[in-house]
Amino acid sequence: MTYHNGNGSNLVDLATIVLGTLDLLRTGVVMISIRGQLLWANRAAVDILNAHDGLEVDANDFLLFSQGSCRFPIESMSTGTAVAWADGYGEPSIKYVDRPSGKRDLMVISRRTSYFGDGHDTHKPFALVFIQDPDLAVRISQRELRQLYGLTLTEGSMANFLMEGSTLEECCRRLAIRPSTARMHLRNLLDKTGTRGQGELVCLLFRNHGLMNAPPVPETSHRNSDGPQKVFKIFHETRTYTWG
Amino acid sequence: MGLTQSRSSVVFRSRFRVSSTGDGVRGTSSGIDGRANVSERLGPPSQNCADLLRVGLEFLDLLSVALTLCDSSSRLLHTNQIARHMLNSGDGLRIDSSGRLRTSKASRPVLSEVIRELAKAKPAPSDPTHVVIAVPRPSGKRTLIVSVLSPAFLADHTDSLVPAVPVIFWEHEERCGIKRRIWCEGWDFTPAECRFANLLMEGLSLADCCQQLGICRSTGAFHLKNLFRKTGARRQIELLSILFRAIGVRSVVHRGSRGAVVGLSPRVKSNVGDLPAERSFFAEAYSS
Repeated sequence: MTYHNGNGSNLVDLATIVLGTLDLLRTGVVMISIRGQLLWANRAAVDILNAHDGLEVDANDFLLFSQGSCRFPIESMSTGTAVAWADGYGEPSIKYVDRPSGKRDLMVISRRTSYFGDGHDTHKPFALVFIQDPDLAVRISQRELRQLYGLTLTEGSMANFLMEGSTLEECCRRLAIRPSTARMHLRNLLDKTGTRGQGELVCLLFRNHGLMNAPPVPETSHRNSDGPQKVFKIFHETRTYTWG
Repeated sequence: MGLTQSRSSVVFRSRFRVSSTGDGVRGTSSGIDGRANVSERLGPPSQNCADLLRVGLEFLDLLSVALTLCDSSSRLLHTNQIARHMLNSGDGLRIDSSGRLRTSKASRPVLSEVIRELAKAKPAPSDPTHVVIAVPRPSGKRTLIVSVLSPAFLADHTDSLVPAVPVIFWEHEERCGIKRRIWCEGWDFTPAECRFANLLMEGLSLADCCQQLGICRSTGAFHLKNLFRKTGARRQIELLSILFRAIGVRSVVHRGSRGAVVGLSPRVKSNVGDLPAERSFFAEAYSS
């Protein structure tokens, strides 16, 4: 089994897989050309752009701010000579973008790619844009929580509620349990994750899982929060992994 | 070329899904035109795949996410810079003498078996996108969370010569040094509040934060109250939730020094040519 670059077809595989990996991220990532036209966007970015709430794409693929319909400023990044570009990294620019819907501002960080072909090639990726949507819910699948920390369904739901910023009382209401039961679940949750408090627990969960997108699960009943049961068997172990 | 062409469409498929709630003509036209134009503008895939791959890998480097591509027997095909650095440290994952990805300590499920199983999985929409493994670390840090992605899910690999399984992981235990500029521009935090917010995002309690900063508890409570006011949070947990969602994965900023490149075969390494010596985007943006 060799891995070669000769005919380019393996590069297609590699590119497909790397871009597919970016598709699983929660952060929106966009590649734009030197003219400010969209070349590629991951799933999270496509969702943000399709919402026309803050940032969007016009019919000619130019990246625009929804308010005022002005184009994404690429000029500020393109100052400098080709020699300076070879060095690659300019200071990233950070913008907070207002959203017509009144949601929290999108945080948009953009910078040039470290590599930029030979001069003004409008077909090549020129700048990288990262878009962070603060109102995007962070949800960890029950499968992951069970597998990694041995959490029960209720503990898993509680972990997700705490990540949303819910208090213990709100958790009680949403799970329809008593405060004393909730405190017991919280104690188990802290034991199983090896954390000492709610703050540390939430930090651990965000740091370990805040990067990847879990597929959306409708929040109807926490008892069913594994969603449609899709069982995936891994080798000949008795254990099965449920994707929820 | 025909094969290449058809597979490259996998890359771009669903890139510009039209939102079902799109606002009329504008949403629809930009969606459809976008899809048609993008693959056209990118030209023949054989030329541009290298660009896309390079920039795709750069994205991951900038996000401080380590990516390795393995074949079905866990042999390393490709890594990005962050992965090379982390594999070099051998703290959790390492490369054995035959160039295979191994865990430093036994993990459950076993990494190589998960990789082998995912490599031969047929593409089916019901399969999971990734399998997560907790890998113990010899240094005593918290377990490393390693995600093995399903290549079947990422691409149509039925006609692929080499199934490559992506394995991604990142450093969870880095300091959370978010640069003042991020806080100041968006949130109007004072320098003291920036330091305080960074410590809170590392999981420290109010008392620990005060101790670290050498301030008394009432001053800490005052900073916390101001953070609540500026973010609209009512409680500490809610504040953390807001900060993490707004700042995102920057908690995984990787700021360690880069080690030497691990022993990959030159052929593998030169797949897309060497990227320039990378500096972490977020390390720059967020270094204090």
